[in-house]
Amino acid sequence: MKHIHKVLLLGSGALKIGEAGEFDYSGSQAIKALKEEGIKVILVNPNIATIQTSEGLADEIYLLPVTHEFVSSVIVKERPDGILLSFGGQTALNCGLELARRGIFKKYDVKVLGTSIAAIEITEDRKLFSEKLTAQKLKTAPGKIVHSLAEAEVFANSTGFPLMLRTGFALGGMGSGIITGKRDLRLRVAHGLTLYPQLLLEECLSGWKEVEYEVVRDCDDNCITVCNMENFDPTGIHTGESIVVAPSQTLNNHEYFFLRTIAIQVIRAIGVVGECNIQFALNPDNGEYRIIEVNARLSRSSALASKATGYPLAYVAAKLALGKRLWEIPNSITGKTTAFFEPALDYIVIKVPRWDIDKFIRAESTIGSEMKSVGEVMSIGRTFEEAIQKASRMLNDGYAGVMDKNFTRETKQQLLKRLKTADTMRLFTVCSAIREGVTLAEIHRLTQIDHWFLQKLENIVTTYKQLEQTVRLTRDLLRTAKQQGFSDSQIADLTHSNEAAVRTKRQQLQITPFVKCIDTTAGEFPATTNYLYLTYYADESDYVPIAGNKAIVLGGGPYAIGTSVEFDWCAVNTVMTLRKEKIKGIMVNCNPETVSTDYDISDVLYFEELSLERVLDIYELEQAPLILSVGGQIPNNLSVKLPRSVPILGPTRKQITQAEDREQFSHLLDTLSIAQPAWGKAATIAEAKKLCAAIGYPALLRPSFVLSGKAMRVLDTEVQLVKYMQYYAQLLKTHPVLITRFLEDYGECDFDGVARSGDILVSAISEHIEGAGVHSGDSAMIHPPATMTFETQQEVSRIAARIIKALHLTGPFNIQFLHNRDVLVIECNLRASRSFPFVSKLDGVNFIEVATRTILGKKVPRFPVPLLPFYGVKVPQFSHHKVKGADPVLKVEMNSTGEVAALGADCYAAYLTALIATGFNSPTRRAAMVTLGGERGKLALINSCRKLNNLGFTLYATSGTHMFLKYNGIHSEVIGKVFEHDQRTVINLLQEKKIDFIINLPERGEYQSTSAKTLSDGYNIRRAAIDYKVPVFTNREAADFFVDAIAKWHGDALPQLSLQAYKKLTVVTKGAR
Amino acid sequence: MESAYLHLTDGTSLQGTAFGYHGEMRGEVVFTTAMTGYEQSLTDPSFANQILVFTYPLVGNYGVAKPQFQDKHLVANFESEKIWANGVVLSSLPKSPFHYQSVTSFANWLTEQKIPGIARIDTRALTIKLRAHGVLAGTISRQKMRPRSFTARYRYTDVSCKKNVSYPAPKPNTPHVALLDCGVKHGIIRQLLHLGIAVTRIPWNVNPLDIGKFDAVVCSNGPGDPKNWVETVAIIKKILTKKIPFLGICLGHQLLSLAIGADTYKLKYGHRGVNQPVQEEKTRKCYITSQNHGYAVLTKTIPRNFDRWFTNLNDGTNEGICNDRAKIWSTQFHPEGEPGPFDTEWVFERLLTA
Repeated sequence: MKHIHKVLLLGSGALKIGEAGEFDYSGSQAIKALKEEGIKVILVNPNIATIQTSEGLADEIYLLPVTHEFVSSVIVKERPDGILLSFGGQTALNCGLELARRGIFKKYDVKVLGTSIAAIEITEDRKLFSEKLTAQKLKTAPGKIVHSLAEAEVFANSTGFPLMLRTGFALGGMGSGIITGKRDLRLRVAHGLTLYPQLLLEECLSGWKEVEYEVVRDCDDNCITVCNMENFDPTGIHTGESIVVAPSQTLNNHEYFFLRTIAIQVIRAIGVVGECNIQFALNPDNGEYRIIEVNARLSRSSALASKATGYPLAYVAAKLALGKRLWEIPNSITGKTTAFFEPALDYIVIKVPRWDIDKFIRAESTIGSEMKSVGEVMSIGRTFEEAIQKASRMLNDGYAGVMDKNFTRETKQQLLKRLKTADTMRLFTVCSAIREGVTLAEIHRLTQIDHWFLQKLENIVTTYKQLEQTVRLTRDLLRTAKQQGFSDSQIADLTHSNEAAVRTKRQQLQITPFVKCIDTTAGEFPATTNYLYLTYYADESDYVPIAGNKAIVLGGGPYAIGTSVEFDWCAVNTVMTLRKEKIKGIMVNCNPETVSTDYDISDVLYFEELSLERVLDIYELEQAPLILSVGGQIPNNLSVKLPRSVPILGPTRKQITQAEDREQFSHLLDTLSIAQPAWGKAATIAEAKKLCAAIGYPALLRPSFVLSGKAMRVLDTEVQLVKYMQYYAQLLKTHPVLITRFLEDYGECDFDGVARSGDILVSAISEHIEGAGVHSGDSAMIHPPATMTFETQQEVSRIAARIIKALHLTGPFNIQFLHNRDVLVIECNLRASRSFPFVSKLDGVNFIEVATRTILGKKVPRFPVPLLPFYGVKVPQFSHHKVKGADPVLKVEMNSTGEVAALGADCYAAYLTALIATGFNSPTRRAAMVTLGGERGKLALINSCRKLNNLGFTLYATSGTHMFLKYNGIHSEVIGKVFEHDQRTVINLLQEKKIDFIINLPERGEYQSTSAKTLSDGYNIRRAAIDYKVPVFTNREAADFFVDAIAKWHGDALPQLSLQAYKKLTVVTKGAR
Repeated sequence: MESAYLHLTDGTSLQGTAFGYHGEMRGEVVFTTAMTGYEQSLTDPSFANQILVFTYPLVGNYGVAKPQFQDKHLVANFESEKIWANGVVLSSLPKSPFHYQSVTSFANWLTEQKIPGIARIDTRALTIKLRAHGVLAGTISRQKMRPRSFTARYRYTDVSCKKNVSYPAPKPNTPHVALLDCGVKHGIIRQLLHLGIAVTRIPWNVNPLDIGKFDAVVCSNGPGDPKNWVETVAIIKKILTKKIPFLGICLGHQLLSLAIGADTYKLKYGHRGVNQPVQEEKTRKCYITSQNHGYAVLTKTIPRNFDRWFTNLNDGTNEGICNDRAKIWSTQFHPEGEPGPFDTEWVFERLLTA
């Protein structure tokens, strides 16, 4: 065998729906496994917020798109001996298959390590897959694409009924459903074929249990199944959308080991070397099975299985790819046994998906075979009740538990209706229905959820009702409630007490949680690591708090829009710095997709809730100070809630309140004579009118009654204002709305930094491409600033210095500025921000390391602002194509699910590269479509349209825009809107792949319309663009920048240096800050 | 809910909730880490005189199936006709089950079989105690008072059949093995029949050579200290002199080892679970196995003419011996699984090469 010295690892790029942080975890583990073997690791991954793209892991990091073009160029340059394709999700796998097809591996003698290309192809090709497994007498669900009724009938005759009919996705999947018999088939297929050219018929597995196995195989054919998992929802709901439990709960011994045997047969038949995930459907009435799918790579499920069992699947898979055998790899938890074993669990693990549907305009909350969730939480307990209640709170979506007063307002009839169609509230709907007296049998009939789960939920509901009715809270009831996972605050709520009082009472009655260890062997062998969870279902702890200097770091919780891998990077780097400083790091987090929840990262890991109650429990056990400023908003919000007796390292409660309380901060700015957009609060129509008259329109309204910020609006007129205030009148009485002057034509920038006693030690300015009005998380950022004037940058720095000095801050911070001719402050957060990894990696100064050392009181020098001879551009990744119906328009509320960054000697090349990394194709068709709403929109883009004309682009325009362009001497071709008949429409252009991109500048009123019924032409165009995967720009600045970028780019190679190579170009100046 | 107590011989008593049979029962307290298979474990005769602690906290979820007899003396879905364990210790109380094969609940099954159970015990804490201390004797009782005297429920030989039972092979002219029953798990018989081998199951103290001609002899699993089974060891010695192919499983492996002059010893807390990794010495191939034993063969005492067939990857203990030329094999693990994996079923196929 060829000796392997240098390995290329492909990452998964930006976080998106279906491909999230789990691949940072997989990739980081793979790098660790390779480095241990002395192998040089080359990484291609444009996701700059990840841990795997941090210094000290891979030897060369290429922040480049994971596409065959870019990866080929890296192969040519680096000439690696081998490549790993299974650690970067579907993105890396697809890229690998494409490279193989193009003969790149053969040409450059790159060995595909681990699972072979041939084996991957079997799992990716439905036909090959079915043939391969059927040959081994293994059962797959038969399915066929049919183009005629005759074809459908032939298929139906071979399989029998019921069958599942699936139609295309683009028109909303109209006509999909279960076919019960021949007559039904004739009617439905005939109708379906009038709408779609082809239909998919599949064996109907509706109501079957969905079970997954994580299987590992080495090059000597030694096989193990690390974990099995059972979905709470039956087949039909994507496993990423379902609650999942590990191990399976309702399978008997025969079923468990029968499927295990099949799983091993499958991995052998396919020939995977490493890890794969096998999904089964299991008939609950007779034990029949079908193999639904095999993923011959690390996956979201494998990350979950690793965290659920303590078995490091990715690490082991990487070793196996190098030709090691399972028994040659030590079990790092016990330190004594080997990786050839199957973990035994003595606890139950539950994963619950985290959705953020409310953040998408016009998206539906139903769930099904397509994934829509943006993150997940994992909870561990010794009963199902305890674990599911913990998980519901970990979501950080406002739930107090599976039963929540705020979600139980519906009538029995409404609940029954909701049970029929699965939606994101399903768990809570089921519990409310139980409470309203719907029988478990009825719920089972409507949802097909196994009785076992329903019975457990019923136990919780019973206790909930007891708590509601109790006059005196007895010790027994309190203990039962705690063992069933009720929080102190919910118990307080139900018994008319308060959280602190319940806590005190509980402690007096000696009802406290115990700490249990995850050891992979159910207690058979001692663990050398401290991978822990808390439970009330125990009598003693098997962990003694570690001695010595220590600190508790709170992680970011579930990934959701606004909280993503960047906060995991911050939390992990904090713990790593603590350990470097000889301080023991204790991590608390509940997100299985993270690196921070790898038990190797910290000295102690609590896989636990980030709630006030649980954090206090952990604090009381460990007696160590807390670091709350690195995990994003969840830990940051705790700082003001924690009792004063709890020591916090970093920004103080007073400082945080001063910066984050709107009134206090505004006052601070006033005393410092620092400008801010005019603002005020209003609870009534009269107040709002008066306020808006004073500050002027447009006005940004931010209500305080919803967590998600769903009702945030920009209003242009008093008529709109009155309508808004009337609509929310009831809620606004108690929760006034915050109204801010909405400034247009302003640029925006982020100022990240770390301070000691009010003195800024390190800082960085990142300029937004999109101007004010687009959420900073959805804006592209350039660092160092490319178009801001030096004077503005200086002014921003000066203002930041004055604010931080006034706050006398020690710790990390982020300030957002608006700038035009003047500079205004929008907000200030005394915590690490989304852009910390971005600026840290570009500037070569780890902001988190500086922050951690500073808050520990260590001596840290001041870092000069480096003069970078290159630019980094960070762009958001959107997942609108995954969320049916979602409007992709950019607005004040964040919508992106991830980000990527690219570097370049000029910011335009870097921008283009970064866009390609989010799925753009380079504009080679030289055609675009423009549709500009309103006079302002049209005028704003006239220059860019002219530039496109001059560049030789064919412009297609809707009639109004066409007239306007014509009047201004710009040539364009008229094209119909989506629903204009008798002429070619934008749909034709999209279908025929005629255009590179669409510029659609909508007017505010168009997409903000509260009446969801009327779908505007603009919306239809944007949505069609998303469905046909054509980029669409809805923001003027971004469109201009993009046009400039393609004007400057002449089709030559985009930048291809590694991060390390760029760093070597860095010249540090000793300029004063 | 009535309280129950687990009184341990180290002087500690654990309080929990009673379920199952209302009676007092003593036994050696051992733990299994299997997450499924309580029906199979409890009906395994090797658990006779033992109280079984399940480390998995949610037991009884899928209820208890109706025993299916594929022959008058052979259960298809359990490992014997009854529960042999003396008691059960659980974390949470099992509730009404939901499974298409379930006919009764776990608690009712225990009541029917006159087996006491205790739930709401911190089974992880108890397991760690047993791991640290070694196995302890204990009594499940509804009395808070510690019991003063105990009697063993079974003599170790109670697990064996009292007279010969024959299981004809599905087809004629097939190999015929004698099965020395020291408390055989029915899974072993099922595996042999599945391979087309006819089986005559004979009591532990009968020399098969005295009652007929067999193509091979299999010695079963069974409870307790192998050194108790003096008569069976003597019979095995006789069989070996006749050069008849031999397969020992679990206790059978230990008895074979004693018969060839090796020694056995008691493990601190045994191997009980379905995730025990073993490695075949010659090929370096690894297998996940089902195990239930408290004693082991002392590796260094294995005579030269025998190969160390398998070794436990967790603790390096011996997991099997063989002498291929003499056609003698034995495994410490259960190649028939039940509960647990079937990865080593092929061990039985060795008999077909005999």
